[in-house]
Amino acid sequence: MMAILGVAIMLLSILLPGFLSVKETRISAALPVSLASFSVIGLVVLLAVSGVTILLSFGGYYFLMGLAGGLAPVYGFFLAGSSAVQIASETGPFARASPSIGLWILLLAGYVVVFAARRKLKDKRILSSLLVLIPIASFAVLLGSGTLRELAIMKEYANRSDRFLEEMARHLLIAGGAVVAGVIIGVPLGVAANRSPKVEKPVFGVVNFIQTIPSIALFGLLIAPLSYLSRSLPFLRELGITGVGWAPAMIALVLYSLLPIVRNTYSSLKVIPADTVEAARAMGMSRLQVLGKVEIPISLPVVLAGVRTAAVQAVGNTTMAALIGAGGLGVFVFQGLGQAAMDLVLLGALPIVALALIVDSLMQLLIAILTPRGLVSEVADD
Amino acid sequence: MIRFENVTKEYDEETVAVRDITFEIPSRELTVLIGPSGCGKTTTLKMINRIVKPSGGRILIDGEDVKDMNVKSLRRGIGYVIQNVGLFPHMSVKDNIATVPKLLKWERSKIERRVSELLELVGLEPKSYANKLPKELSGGEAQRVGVARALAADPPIILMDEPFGAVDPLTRVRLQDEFARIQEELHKTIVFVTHDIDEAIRLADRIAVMKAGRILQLDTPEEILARPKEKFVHDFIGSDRALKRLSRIPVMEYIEKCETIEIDGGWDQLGMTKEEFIWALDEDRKLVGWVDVSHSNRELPLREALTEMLEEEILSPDSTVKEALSRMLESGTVALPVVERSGRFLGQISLSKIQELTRSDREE
Repeated sequence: MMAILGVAIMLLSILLPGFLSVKETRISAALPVSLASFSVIGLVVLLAVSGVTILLSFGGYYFLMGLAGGLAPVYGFFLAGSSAVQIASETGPFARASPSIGLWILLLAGYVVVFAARRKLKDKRILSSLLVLIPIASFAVLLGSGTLRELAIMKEYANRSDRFLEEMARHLLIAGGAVVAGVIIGVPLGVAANRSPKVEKPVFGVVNFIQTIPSIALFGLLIAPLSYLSRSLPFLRELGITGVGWAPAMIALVLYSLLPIVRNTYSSLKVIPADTVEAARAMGMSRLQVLGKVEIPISLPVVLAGVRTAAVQAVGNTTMAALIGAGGLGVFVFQGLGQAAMDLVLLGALPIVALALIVDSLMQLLIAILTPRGLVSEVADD
Repeated sequence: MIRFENVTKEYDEETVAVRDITFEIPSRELTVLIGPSGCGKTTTLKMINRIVKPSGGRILIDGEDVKDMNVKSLRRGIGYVIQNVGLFPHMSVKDNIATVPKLLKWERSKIERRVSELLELVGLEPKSYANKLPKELSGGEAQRVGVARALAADPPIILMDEPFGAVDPLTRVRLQDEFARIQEELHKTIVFVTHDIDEAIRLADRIAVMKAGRILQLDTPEEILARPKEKFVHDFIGSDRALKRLSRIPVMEYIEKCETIEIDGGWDQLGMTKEEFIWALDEDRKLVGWVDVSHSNRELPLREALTEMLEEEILSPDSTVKEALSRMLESGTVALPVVERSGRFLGQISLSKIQELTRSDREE
């Protein structure tokens, strides 16, 4: 059913009047360009892909179906890129060709089809994560080939390529650092909450409460105490800890990552049957062997599922950190919003989405590899 | 031999699980600890492998205090089966069974061989079960794997805590029978906790009836059924203890010699018999049926007067007296023949003999 919806969206995207939009300069009015008007072959291919997707769906070939759906938007970008090259050579160097509603909807269609396929492939986690990783890798190849160089968003990139890589690295560092710190703090908290009801109540009270604070508000709340600390303790200032910048961002992101990690650690230990642990002890395993051979193998997949949630969430939330001067890809988003330059917004937003998807799939792959065969169905997917 | 000497377990002053018990569990026998919940039977069991630490007294295995033994080697030398099996959900059947051998660092090939051997012993086909996962097993199958896991390193002692408690009654009886067969073969020292008196009577060599942390009576099942020492034991056994006792007695104990007739001979074999019915045998002394002595026309050949037996009316030497009684009631007869597997006639068991013997027991 979902696959059919995806194909319907795909057909809509192909037939919409605006697949691309062309502007004579960066700030002039945009003119919609339909797919049919610049690439009949592209139109036919995408129509064929729609048909094939439906057939694969009815035939039960879900992996191939997802692959077709996932690669369709990559092909759409290829078409847009090559047409932008052509437009540039005809209209001059200031012309801007941008993906328009049609291409975005095609992207949505691809996402829906992949999502439908992944739902069907629930038990085959490796195939399921490949369905995200293969289209993203193909897109990376397309980026590298230069076909997309004349698209407006790539021109924005070309103007800022050094800055882009720097902010991307920063983004990953902040998000990754926050998750690592979240694991270091969250796993012991989860274990403690499981061991003692006295710890359980306050820990969950606090982490649940943090989760309800909007991220901007939390960044704001941290500015005052951190500025005070930084003023009164010079060594903190020397470390670069001030009211704005990476320090409050990191603290906020660590706090956010705690809930999924603490919650999953806590429930992963609940999953371990008491009988199983007793049997292990009674068979003469040492405390360490019980931990290594029984408790960790059973609980690890659930803990990692929490880390997965935390990581995806951190990649998204790091965007907001740009507002308090922490940097990251959010910088482009907010700059673009300020200048009403949508292409610049996209230069920030698209990589963030892609990063979130990649992190999600890689974590899923890792969990699939580390989950013992006997436990596969017991670990919740999301 | 496992010996408890003045063993006490108190969690605090209010909750005393075991009160100063002293008793012996003989080697190579199956001793059942039985009693209502909270009587201390499981605590008693778990003190043997030091899962629970006694607050007083000592437990000796073959003269050595368990407290002085290395806890890991103590436990690796004691098989352990619990009610909910406690199989490791992330390991295959094979890896579950191989747990202790692996801890003992056996060679791979030896472990493989042992796993197949054990699966066969507990009645699971090694090829199809070795790689299954616990979640793919039925309750009964999981319990068999649990027994195999406990036997893996061939420990002399096995502790079982209501091992068949969580399976349906039909499967339970089958598991009990198979387990009895395994024990007959292996002769392990088994301590078996249950609250099911029928299970205890079916399996035990000796039964310890417990209440409120004390052992009220420790005896053979026959003795406990015949002479319960206290009112509690009497009540716990149930009002059908006479019947339960009969389930422990093999028919061979009550068998009587009786008159028979050779089917291919003549009526004159009978002489002056007072019997109304008589068992008919062929020349190899195999049972062929019975003959109605008083109502038959003796002019006709003997074979004409023969009535053949239904299969369920014939007892085998390992049937119990309870079974014999039940079949008599079912078929409306007062005596049934006991016949070897080969068909050879051994004798008969009669209602009057059963009554006579149970009556004399009561008068003792």
